[in-house]
Amino acid sequence: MAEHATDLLEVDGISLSFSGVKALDGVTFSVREGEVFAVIGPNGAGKSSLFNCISGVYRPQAGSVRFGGDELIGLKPHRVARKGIARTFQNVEVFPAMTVQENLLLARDGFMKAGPLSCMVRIGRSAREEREAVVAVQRYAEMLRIDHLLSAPVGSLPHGTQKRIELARALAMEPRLILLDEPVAGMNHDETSEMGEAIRTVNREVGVAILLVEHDMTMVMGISDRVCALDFGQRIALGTPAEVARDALVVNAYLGGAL
Amino acid sequence: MTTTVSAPPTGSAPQPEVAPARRRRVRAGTIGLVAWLLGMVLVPWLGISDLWMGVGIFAIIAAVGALGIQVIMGFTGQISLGHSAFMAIGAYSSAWLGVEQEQPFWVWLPAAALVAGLAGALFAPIAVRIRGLYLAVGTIALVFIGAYVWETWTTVSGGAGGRLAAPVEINGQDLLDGYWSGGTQVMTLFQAWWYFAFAVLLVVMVLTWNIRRSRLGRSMLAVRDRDLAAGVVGIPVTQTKTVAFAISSAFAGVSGALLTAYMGYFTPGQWSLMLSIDFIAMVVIGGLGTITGAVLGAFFFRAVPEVVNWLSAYLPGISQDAKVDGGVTAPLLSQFVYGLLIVVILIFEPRGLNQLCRKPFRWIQQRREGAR
Repeated sequence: MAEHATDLLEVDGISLSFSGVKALDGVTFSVREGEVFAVIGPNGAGKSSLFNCISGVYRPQAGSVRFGGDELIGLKPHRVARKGIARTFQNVEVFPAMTVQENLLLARDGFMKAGPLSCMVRIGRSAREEREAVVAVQRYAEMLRIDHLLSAPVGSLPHGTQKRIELARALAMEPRLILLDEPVAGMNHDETSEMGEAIRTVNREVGVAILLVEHDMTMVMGISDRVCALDFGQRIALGTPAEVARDALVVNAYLGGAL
Repeated sequence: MTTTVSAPPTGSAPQPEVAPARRRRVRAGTIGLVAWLLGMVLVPWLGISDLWMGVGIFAIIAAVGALGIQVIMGFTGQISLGHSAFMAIGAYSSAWLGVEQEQPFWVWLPAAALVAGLAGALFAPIAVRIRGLYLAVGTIALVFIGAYVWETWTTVSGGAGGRLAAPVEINGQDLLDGYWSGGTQVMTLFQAWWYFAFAVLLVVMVLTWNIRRSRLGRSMLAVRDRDLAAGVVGIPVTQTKTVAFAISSAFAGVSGALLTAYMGYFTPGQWSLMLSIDFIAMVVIGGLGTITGAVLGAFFFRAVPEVVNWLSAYLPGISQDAKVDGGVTAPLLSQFVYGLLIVVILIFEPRGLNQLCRKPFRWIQQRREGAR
């Protein structure tokens, strides 16, 4: 994989609480350009809250999140997205009423400049941009092997396929970082290994950094460069998969303090 | 320490090959469109009575407004009950330009769209902050503010007594007198107006279709279905809603300008809340989120009460006017039957007339495929 020269995403001491319940408590870590970085932790450890803070859905009470040197806290979700952070969700957030192609085209919105009037008459810029977007989207559909489904309405497709569509949509934004929130949740064994393979392909071929939250340890350990473990909103371990798997605190968090 | 979540059996069985069936359906749609266009062009020459031509012209004008509701409600998922206020803005600005300023229709009609669209954009900052029922209630306020303004601002509205509307003049002839050439009438008022209104409807339909298949329409649908995910994908949610409000109001303005120009004279009283609700009913009956749905809904809404009214003459025990003591009158029955029809349609096909009309085609197609 690529040289880990610079830090792409720097999460520095972010804290988030919901009326007294601390979801995140001074979490600090950074993701390097081009790496696969996993965040693990038991249910309720604050993993999804972390993603929501990065992508601008929640605003943490303290701390900072910098991306390529720019502060992200306080930006609206679509601004964060346009800076180059794409995201998938734990419960697939695709748009069921639209076709697969339209779902992917949505991700190209940041590359299109045509205004409302231009779109309504569809001449010149608008028409050209739409054609370019269709071509661009084709590539990502092929990469995730959903190109034969482009004209199908997303709502009619199986769960595993929808997850791949969501990943393709994230890729089509041409981001520098993709946040994957439990990419294999609810998948069977075959689908899981297929998805793990897809994530690795994406990372290798496109060179995009990946920040991953996942419960499936086999997959996390197999594809990650580094792993960070959270428990009750605090970071309890950070290192290579092998280091984290041996860490006493991590074992405790998962299996309970009784051991 | 594997904590894999066990898979819930979500999703249906895989359906890999959807593409060919879809292509065939698009072709059936094209045939339907061509047939409808031909029909619309031929209707004025079929010797249909003036009454029914009038109903048709009202339906065409309503379809323009219904497309506006389709943009804001069908595409973007925002309930707006302020549609009649934006129609009024279009109507008054066109009347002022067309009568006081003596501008031709190709000035006052786009101007009606522009002024109403701007008004929609001005209201949008308030509207994007509230959702669902709160938005519905918030937009009702527009109707009442409008009603007050029209009744007070008498220099423009003519007060409760009403005012003249802008005339549609083509080659110096007012379309309300029909169209003349060399001393003979080429087209009656109804034929001429049918074509004029139909031409405007076609333009608005094309604009709406382009919205639907461009980045604009995709953003609207994304905001409608999941606004959180839309933002994360990079769609500016607030901006999308604002644009949708502006476009919807602009279409309302065109519809209002056309409506009043066709009637020739209008009063502040007609821009009621009920008018806004009519438009919502049209798109719900026709089918939310589709262009065909808006047009079908508008025609259904305008035509069916008249049809029931006309049929009631042949039913026993129905009196034609209210003078006769206490009996069921035709207009009364018409309302009942009409309401009943809406309920039955929505129970039978909640996605509206648009889907209902496609059912027989789909049935034939399935039979054909089954036979093979």
